[in-house]
Amino acid sequence: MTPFADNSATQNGQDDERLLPLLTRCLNGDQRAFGEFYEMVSPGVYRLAYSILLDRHDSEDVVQEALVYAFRNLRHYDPARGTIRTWLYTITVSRCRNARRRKWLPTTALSHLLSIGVEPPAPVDHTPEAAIARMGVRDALEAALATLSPRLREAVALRYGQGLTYREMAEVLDCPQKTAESRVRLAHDAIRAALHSADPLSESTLLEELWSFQSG
Amino acid sequence: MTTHNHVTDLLSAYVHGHLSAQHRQRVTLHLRTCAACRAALERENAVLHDLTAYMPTLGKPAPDQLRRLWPAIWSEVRTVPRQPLRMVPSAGVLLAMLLICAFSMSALVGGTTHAMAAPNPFVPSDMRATNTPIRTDSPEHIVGDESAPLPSQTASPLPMASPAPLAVRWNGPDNR
Repeated sequence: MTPFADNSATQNGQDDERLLPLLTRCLNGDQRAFGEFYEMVSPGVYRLAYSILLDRHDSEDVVQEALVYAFRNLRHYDPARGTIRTWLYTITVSRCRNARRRKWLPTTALSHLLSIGVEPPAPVDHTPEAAIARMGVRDALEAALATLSPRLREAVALRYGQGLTYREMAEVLDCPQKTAESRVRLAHDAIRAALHSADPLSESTLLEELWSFQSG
Repeated sequence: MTTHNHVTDLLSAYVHGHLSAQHRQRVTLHLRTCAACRAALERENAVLHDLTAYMPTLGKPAPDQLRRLWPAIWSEVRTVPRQPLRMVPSAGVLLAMLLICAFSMSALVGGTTHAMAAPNPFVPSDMRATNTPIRTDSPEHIVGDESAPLPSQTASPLPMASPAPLAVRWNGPDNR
């Protein structure tokens, strides 16, 4: 196997022109091609998994599961249905959902499920918003991502983390393109709200609208 | 359009390019005259910039982090996956199924044989029908007339279906 190189910076530039010959070699039983294929795609798969799960160990598990499945099913890849990258990301998103279910089921407290508020609310100084305000941009963004629902996090990860088009997103998420666009906008709004918890515009706008309504 | 009709709800779609031409023009015109919405637009653009700049670097793997996973992945890929469980019955189950089938078939065949055998019950020779014509002019003659045909043998269109084991003696209305 060739020395491992971190290709994550160039993952967005990887395309089927480079991957398809490797895939053909893999199908012909070339073991070295499997290693090269793994080096090319694994950083992108890992980044996608981490952007969705926000956990290093879970993301590594997803990389392993997704690529084992992909290598075993290379012959089932159909170029007519999408690029290799979208095929791999479809598998990755599916494995991330499975990992989230596995982790969610045994660890979620019943009180949290029922929202009965057994635990006392966090002090004001320790709210996520206050914590975000003390962080750097990258950490703040990661903390803001953690406040999103999994579906919105998938949309942000695919759109901004992997640079997919909305059409490609729709393929990966198995949803209409308009739904993919809507999820990106909702995620954008939620991240803005988390980064700027106190939005002065919303208050001033509300007062202004109220004033105009009363005077009118 | 007044300055009070803020377009903050459309700004997210505006920066993502999801608006129709008509709505986009409306937002553009409003932004020229509304400082509050321009400030909101700057915030939306800042979020968009952060997402575009930092998301590609989020989760960047450490050196050799993914290389450590490769041996386990390759080992698993080379392992022949277990075939899904096939419904092949064992010899005992197969024998039991054959016995059940044989028993069911014998029961069916036996039931049919019994039904076929029913039309031929034992009838004493002295009660069997003869070609002697029935005399209807004298009911008294029928009583005790052993040569008269059995009602079931003359009335039933399906003589095998319900044979009468015993001859019914017609004593006429006077015996009732």
